[in-house]
Amino acid sequence: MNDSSPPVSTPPLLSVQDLKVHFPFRRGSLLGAQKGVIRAVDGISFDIARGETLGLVGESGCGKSTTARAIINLVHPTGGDVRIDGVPIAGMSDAAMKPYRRRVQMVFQDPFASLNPRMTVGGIIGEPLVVHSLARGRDRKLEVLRLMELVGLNPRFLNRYPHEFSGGQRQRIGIARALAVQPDLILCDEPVSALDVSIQAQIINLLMDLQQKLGLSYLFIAHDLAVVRHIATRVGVMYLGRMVELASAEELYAGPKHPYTEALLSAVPVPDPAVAASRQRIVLSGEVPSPDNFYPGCAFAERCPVKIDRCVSDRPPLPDQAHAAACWVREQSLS
Amino acid sequence: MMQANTKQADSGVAQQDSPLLSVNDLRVSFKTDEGMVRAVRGVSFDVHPGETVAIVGESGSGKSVTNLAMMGLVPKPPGNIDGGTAMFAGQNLLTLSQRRLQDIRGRHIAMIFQDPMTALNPLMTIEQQLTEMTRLHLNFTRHEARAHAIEMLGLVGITAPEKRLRDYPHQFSGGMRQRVMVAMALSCEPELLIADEPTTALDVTIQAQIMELLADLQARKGTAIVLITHDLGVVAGVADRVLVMYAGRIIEKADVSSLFAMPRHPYTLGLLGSLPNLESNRDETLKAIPGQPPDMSVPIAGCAFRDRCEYRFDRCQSDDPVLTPRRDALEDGAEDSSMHMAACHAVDVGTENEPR
Ligand SMILES: Nc1ncnc2c1ncn2[C@@H]1O[C@H](COP(=O)(O)OP(=O)(O)OP(=O)(O)O)[C@@H](O)[C@H]1O
Ligand SMILES: Nc1ncnc2c1ncn2[C@@H]1O[C@H](COP(=O)(O)OP(=O)(O)OP(=O)(O)O)[C@@H](O)[C@H]1O
Ligand SMILES: [Mg+2]
Ligand SMILES: [Mg+2]
Repeated sequence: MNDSSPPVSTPPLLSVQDLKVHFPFRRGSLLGAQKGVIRAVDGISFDIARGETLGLVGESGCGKSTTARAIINLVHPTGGDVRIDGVPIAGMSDAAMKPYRRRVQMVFQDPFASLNPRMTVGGIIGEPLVVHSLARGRDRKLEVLRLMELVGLNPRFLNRYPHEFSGGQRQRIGIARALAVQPDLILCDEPVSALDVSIQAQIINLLMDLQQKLGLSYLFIAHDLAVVRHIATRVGVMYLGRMVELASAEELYAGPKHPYTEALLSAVPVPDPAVAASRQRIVLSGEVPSPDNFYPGCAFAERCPVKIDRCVSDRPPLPDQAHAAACWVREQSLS
Repeated sequence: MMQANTKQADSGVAQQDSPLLSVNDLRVSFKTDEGMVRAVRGVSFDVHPGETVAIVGESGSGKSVTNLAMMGLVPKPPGNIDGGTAMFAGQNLLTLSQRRLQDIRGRHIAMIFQDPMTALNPLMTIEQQLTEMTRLHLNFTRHEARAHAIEMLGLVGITAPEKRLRDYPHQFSGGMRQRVMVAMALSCEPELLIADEPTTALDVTIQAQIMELLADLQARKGTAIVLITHDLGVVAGVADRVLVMYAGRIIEKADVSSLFAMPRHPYTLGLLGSLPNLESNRDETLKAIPGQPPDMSVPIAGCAFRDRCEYRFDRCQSDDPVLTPRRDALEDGAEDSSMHMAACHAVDVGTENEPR
């Protein structure tokens, strides 16, 4: 090929820049109305390249699901920028959004609440095929049956309703639905939390296999750090609406920099009673911060075993480097 | 600020007491378009005061249905209790009137549901839901109930609880909703707590905090806990005994250390072999048990696991294996509920599997 133009760097598949999602609240009380905002996501940035899996971990309530929901415009970002292939999608009209809605799918955290109770499984998995006019009639049915088999659901259950399934079976309905339209990126919010470890292994192998074959990318939110270690190429650690550490999976697990990441890794339960009895975990003490307060410094400072004065007053940035931690003490490039 | 994990493997302490809950030959089925789904096919186990019994097993094997049946919460129809008993404090839970069950539920037996929306009403505030039980069962005044709700939310790690009492469930994150359910279940300090996947949406540090809360209640009140979970790390850390379920049956039961050290049923072996660990990496595919679980709407002859089993032989095709103790244990003459039992012909014949 005769390509004389200078190499243009292709934008990443997904790029999130300084994303903020604040939920305003006003609550009447006997002492008068209180007003404020919950800073669910408070300025986070990351990219996901084609064929990559970014694991996202962090404390319950730190803003992981909200981040994923903001990426597909299910909640409106208060600020920041979400781009797919370099195209900003925030505020896009529904019509303009439609192709992106096919390319970016989500597996929702709660397999009980996220499935329409009045539709059969066949209807639920086939719905995106209808919406995006991808298959009809017999083809659609065959495709649905294939997807059911792929995630280990008995195709005989095609006409069952969600309440007739166990928790783990429902979770797999959500995964089959997300796979139906051959997306480029799947936002997986705790996709295997209700599965026994053998089926979990099947699903993880399936996701990685599809990635190999089709170049799929994943945002993989999970609290099971061993699962994340296995599936993710890079891992982001969130704390109270912010990204506090971002690194390749190997580096993060081998040498966590942020004290919160350290505490998290020390608390992973080990499937061996002898080890479990003797293991020490770092117990965090101190006031747990609240997302409706504004913290000028590091939100983790109150509970941090290594904090210095500066941590309370200045917010440590997440440096732009391969293994980055937002920590004045531990991040060499900041101190 | 280091702390050792909550429980050491000292099983057998509570074994002398008479059981708090005794389930015998429980059978539950559902009528569906594809036929009768036999979800629970004869399950028996005891739970003693102060002990933690973990139930693990295949997704869809009947763990939730077993426990919902005891609580009188299986929808009938399409569900039906085909037989069995569940004795709690001298009464059979399976035949009690809904009214008597309602007195027991929440107060004496509490359940943390796998589906948060079974327990949480989307149209009620967190405060309304948390105060309902204590006002009903403990006769708390509104003021007392509110103070108690704030305290409970604090204990499960919800920050600034007084500010969040008026939120509705959809304003909480998945893990926060799960913790509200834990707070509700613990409110009346029950004698028996059934926890169905109570920490699936929690990060490991908060999970540890919740498990400590349960251990604390157990130590203070002698509460017995039935813990349904897929997290074998949690099982190793907190359980005294473990039941492994497959296709509506208990196929192995043992105290926690002997289950992990000497798993006997081929399904249990496969399960333990599927675990990812903190050292595993992307290049290795995880080992999964090949094949699919059997269709529960078709009667199963022989062993339900045989088609997926590498140790199968003729007998597995025709004979239904029953839970049998290890032969050496039998020779020792010991015989109690802590005994390691497996329902497998292959281990009976002496094809004893070496642990991995
Ligand atoms: N209402 C229903 N109608 C028909 N079948 C049902 C119904 N409820 C449950 N089942 C079936 O009963 C079996 C047992 O379900 P149960 O919810 O007890 O599984 P489980 O062991 O808790 O699984 P999981 O780990 O995935 O939560 C499943 O195969 C399920 O499909
Ligand atoms: N619709 C909403 N209105 C008000 N607050 C909300 C809303 N959705 C989420 N929040 C708040 O935003 C914060 C982040 O919630 P989010 O669901 O993103 O957490 P998460 O990291 O996914 O937690 P988990 O691991 O428990 O699922 C929480 O404090 C939550 O209460
Ligand atoms: Mg979430
Ligand atoms: Mg269940």
